[in-house]
Amino acid sequence: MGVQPSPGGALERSQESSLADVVSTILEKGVVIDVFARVSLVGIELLRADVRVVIASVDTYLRFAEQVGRLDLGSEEPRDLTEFVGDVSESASKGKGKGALEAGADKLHDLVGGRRREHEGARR
Amino acid sequence: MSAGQRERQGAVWVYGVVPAGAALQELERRGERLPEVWLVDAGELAAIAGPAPADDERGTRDQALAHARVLEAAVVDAPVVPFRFGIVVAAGQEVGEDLLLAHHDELAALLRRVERRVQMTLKAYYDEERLLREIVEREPEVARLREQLRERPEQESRDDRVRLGELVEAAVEQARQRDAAALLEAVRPVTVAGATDPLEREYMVLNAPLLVERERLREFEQAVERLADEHAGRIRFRLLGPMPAYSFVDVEDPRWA
Repeated sequence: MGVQPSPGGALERSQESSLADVVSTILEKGVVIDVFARVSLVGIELLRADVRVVIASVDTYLRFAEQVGRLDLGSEEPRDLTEFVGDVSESASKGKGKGALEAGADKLHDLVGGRRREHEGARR
Repeated sequence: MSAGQRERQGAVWVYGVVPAGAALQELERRGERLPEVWLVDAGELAAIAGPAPADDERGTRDQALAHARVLEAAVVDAPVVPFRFGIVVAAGQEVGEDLLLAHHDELAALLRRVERRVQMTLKAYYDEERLLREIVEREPEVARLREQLRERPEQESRDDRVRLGELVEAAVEQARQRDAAALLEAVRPVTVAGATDPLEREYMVLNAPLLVERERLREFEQAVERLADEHAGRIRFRLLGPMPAYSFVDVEDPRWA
């Protein structure tokens, strides 16, 4: 069953599962035969912590506000954004646009590098 | 060492069940990179089994990878009933006698259920900046608050920042519901069933295990490739699998509602 990488790049195929993928795929899934006790392995709780869902809180809202605040609206489709023109030159001069791009790269790195880092970040 | 730990020595980890006599060539081929496994035949069934791992954090992590990878390799060549992570047959019990034969018909029925079917998991993620841009363009109140807050010091505008964040969060959620529904709708014609698992990160759109007929796998993959092209720049996709039908094996007659 051959798996081809997508030429477009918007679709990523992986031949083998990473730990992060594995955890959300296999934990609590699959067949249980009643008479066979499941072992309660040390560390299984740590695996489970990896799939913790982000719950909206004041911190979440403040983070969203910050993310939307540092958008550089000038770098794309300027015709729809005439009302922000004054703002664009201001943020460009302060280099805020660069900050937003770097944040994007960080996020991508989180995705590629697995989930641990992101959760460490989210805890702060 | 506690009594529990002592019992576990010599215990056998059960990965899953395949039809007796299945030629698991891919499992053999990948053998060097996987932990030791062996097949135990009984009746129409064979269990994929191996030594239970060390009971520590490292052992558990390695075994999580091993569990998925062994089964991923097996499902290339045969239908697989995946066992839940952590099922062991204790020393003194027999995999063949006490597991396979004692539950033979039940397991054989599960095997028929996953015959010719595999799970593919589709994960979709927003391009964060692109989505936020859309929201600012579409929601006048977000745009207004955003502008207003740019000039005010953080200390005295906390309430408004929270308010802005709430509006953005609600807009992200709204976009997510609409996009997730559209993505599922797009793969529905080429899948048997689908589910939605909890999202794993903030800007995730969808985390969907999908049940796919082996015969239609290429067709399914093409549909996902089209989706990825269609949403390029806005949504990124990851496709995992083929893997055993973890999310569907305990569903009596998996199908779309």
